[in-house]
Amino acid sequence: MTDEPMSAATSDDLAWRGTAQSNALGVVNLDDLSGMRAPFRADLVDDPDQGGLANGVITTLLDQACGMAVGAAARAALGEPIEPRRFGGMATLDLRIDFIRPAKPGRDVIGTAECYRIAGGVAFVRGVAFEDDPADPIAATQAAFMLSDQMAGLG
Amino acid sequence: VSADPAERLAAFLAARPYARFLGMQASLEGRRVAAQLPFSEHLVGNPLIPALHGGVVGAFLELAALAELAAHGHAARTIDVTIDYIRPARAVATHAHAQVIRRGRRVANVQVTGWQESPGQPVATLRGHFLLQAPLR
Repeated sequence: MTDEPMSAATSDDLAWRGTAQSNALGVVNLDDLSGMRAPFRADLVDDPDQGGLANGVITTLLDQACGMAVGAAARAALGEPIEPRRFGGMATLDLRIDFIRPAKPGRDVIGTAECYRIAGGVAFVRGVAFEDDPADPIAATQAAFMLSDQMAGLG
Repeated sequence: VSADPAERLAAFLAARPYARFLGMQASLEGRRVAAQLPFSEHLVGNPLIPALHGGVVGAFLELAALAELAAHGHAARTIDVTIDYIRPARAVATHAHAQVIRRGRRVANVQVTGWQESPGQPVATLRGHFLLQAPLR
């Protein structure tokens, strides 16, 4: 196992600040930092006839929302102020996504995530993507993140 | 829809705006789809390494699975995917091969390997279930 970050939402600073890819998608953080929003764009759909945002957009949205949630949970565990700051990084180990239904045509998609446990330097996260109501999800995710050395003592 | 797998594959990609946004390409190697994602700055998730966004890697592997099914005449909708991230996907081209583990009447189980330097050193793998739609004609 390398300590090198393996995936993109590698440090909460990046997840929170935005990445080249999330900027290219037009993704913006929610005001309460519980997640982020992907605005609808016609060039980001899988199927022009159905018209909702592509699965891939939702995958990126959830990966990054999960990364931001891990950062928030790690800060809480460290007793740091909630304000996002730089960490040594984190690496997505795996990401499972259930695509429950297609995204609705013409609609923005919100991704929120909760890091429900940090144990042994590993952060466990779940998240959901939806237009209006998290109880009517487009997709649900479950992910594990390896924390960097700086945070490895957590949990 | 064409009976020729290469034409079906081309039609699959041409019909997907998001695949064009990524810059994904694909060709047939024998009967198998060889998917490619040339590097581009807008795909980056971590500028420090630099590395592709994990979401981009997952999205590319999912599209490779769907492309493999489409080339063989099966339109499908993704039910679920599990992506394992094995090493950083760096600022070079990424490749993917999909293997259909089982294709039933309604569901296909597909496994995808994504790599950069060599197929034996994957950057990520994906396995997923795909709901088969009415056959392409």
